[in-house]
Amino acid sequence: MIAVQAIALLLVAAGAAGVVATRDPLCQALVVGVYGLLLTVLFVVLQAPDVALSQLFVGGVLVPALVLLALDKTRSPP
Amino acid sequence: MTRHGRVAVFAVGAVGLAALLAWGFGGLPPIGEPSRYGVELTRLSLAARQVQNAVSGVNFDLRATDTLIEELILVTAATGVTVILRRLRDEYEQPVEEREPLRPRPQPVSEPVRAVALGLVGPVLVAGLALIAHGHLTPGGGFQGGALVVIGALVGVLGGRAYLLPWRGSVAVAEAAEGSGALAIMVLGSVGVLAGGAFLQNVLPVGSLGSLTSGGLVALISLAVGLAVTAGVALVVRAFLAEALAIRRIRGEDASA
Repeated sequence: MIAVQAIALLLVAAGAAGVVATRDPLCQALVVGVYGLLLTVLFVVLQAPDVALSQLFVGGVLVPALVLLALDKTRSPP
Repeated sequence: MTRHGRVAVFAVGAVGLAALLAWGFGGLPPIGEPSRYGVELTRLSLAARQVQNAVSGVNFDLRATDTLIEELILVTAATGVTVILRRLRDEYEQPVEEREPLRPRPQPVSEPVRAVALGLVGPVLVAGLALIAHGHLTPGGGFQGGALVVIGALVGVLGGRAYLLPWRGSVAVAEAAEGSGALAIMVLGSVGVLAGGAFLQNVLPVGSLGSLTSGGLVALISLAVGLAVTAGVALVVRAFLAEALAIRRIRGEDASA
């Protein structure tokens, strides 16, 4: 179990670095969604299903969706 | 400020933060071993309140005041988004029949994607409602369920059904629903006061562990939170969707057409 937790923590660290290292906002919206899924996995591994559900819906879907919509608005003709 | 100056300020802050974190983590129990606090909360939720999901027992009972304040924060945030993204004087909202279902840029939504998205709408909505209704029994609750209900509607829009984007009049309905959810928590809380106890005290019959009617106040607050969160998140998502799909500038029409 410790090994699984360590792997999940490392994946989250790598994902967070990936979000910061991504320069294009459009790609970043997708990368941050994947990062949200990695955090979800971490919370499940740490036996926190309530937090995992919140993370899955907010971090995995709603935040990337709002970023995508904002990008669409700023890049489209008025 | 010079580069050296910035690095020096950062170094002082980083060292201080590292020291505080090391101090804080040093005092935590090892991963997997609950603290005395955690053991006591679980015991209280299961034995005294008959709440199977101890997390909801904490959120909607033992620290229900925090949850009420969180709902008020959500109301404030949704109001702020609605105000900032309001329709300006030189903008108009396209009627539904004029809208392009997610403008075909760079490519139209493919048929399989639309089919999967539309097929998901129903199950996702049901799952969201189930999460809200079973907050006291299984992981989840009003917040997670409310978010999932909105995601269900959002998936429908992604499936190319821009008309699922609610009509303008529904904004008033959602605002009323959001306020009603937060108000319901306060009304439920005052039951405790009327019964001679404290605000948000769980004075309702708690039933038996694992049944739908167990938990007393916990299940009811989960429903109220579900209403407030569904409406609040829907307002925020709706405002963003309307900006992207339907709000057009009146003057810019000729230039873009």
